[in-house]
Amino acid sequence: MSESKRKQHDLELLSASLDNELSEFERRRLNNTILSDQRAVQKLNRYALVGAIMKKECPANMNTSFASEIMCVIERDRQSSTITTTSTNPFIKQVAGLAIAVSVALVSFTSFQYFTQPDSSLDSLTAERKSSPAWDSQAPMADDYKNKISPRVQFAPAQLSANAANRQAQAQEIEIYIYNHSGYGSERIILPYAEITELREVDE
Amino acid sequence: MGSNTDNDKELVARAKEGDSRAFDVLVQKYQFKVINLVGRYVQGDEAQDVAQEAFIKAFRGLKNFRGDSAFYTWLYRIAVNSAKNYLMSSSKKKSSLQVDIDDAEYFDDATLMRDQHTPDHMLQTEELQQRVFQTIHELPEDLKTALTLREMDGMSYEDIAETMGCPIGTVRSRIFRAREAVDKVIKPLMD
Repeated sequence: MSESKRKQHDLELLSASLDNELSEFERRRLNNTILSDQRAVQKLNRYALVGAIMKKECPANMNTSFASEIMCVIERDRQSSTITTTSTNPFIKQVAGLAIAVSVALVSFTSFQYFTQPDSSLDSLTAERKSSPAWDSQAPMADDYKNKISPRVQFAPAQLSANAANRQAQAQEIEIYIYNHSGYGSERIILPYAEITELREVDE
Repeated sequence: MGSNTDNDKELVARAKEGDSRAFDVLVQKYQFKVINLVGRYVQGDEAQDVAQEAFIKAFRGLKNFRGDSAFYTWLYRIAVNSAKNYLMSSSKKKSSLQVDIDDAEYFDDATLMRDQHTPDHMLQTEELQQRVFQTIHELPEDLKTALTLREMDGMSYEDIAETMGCPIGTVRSRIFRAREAVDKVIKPLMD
């Protein structure tokens, strides 16, 4: 087969490929040819355009760089993914992995220690709280709660104004309520933090 | 002859391996179908932007395409979803625009006035369409019939061969020659 005849044959395959009318052998042959020839791809585009015009599927204003704009985005995607892959040194990756593993282990160990430490560590908190007489006088507190009060409700009552002390007392009441109603939790459960931000009288 | 699924299978496989040229062939093959499909939901030139977005989404999601259905069926779903998403987001934009108009000093209309396409890249297809129909009209009867049965009626080569009473190879050749004749006319207009 001469070169011109072969070319004509390839173009005929190109035309038939648009209609999905190729045998497997022809398809492979065409794909090998077409993928290395940009002119063949452009011709495929024009063949498709003829069909679109005949079916009145062609937009009135057609973006002639439709496909090339798509390929630009794809190429940019590919380059950025290549940069990401190549910029990550395998040694740095290993070190980073190790660092993460060590951090996780450290956090786990610290948490374990915190939750398994004896109650004596909480005594200091209790002692500190006992030095604040305003608390005991203003709000009834369950004995159990007095000994295991969450460190997050430690205030300095002496520095509080009357309103603030009132808020403090109500916050405590809420804390006690939450504590007394958290029977399903463990003894060392971390209580949710509650704070009163506004007091309003509601007419019923 | 292979089925629609088989025909794109190899191109899809190559595209999955990172061969962007293979995907380019798929874009060239289906762009008008996808633009037309999106155009049923989205009016105007935005349809082409949404269609482009659909192709890009398809390429990015190729690794998830298992090949159970034809590539175009999968692409069809992506295009419809892209069009619907566009409609949803544009309706949100419109409602926020109405709010912003009341507060005009904070309104930046530059973003809405921006035109993404330069005139150089936009082809007025009116003349192109006239040329195509004129050329097809002047084609020999057998070429014109073969091309029309294929493009307008969507008939397979086998059915066309039966209708025209000729071998399938002849149908293939006639359709190709008809397309080539039209291509010679439209190529200078597109360059």
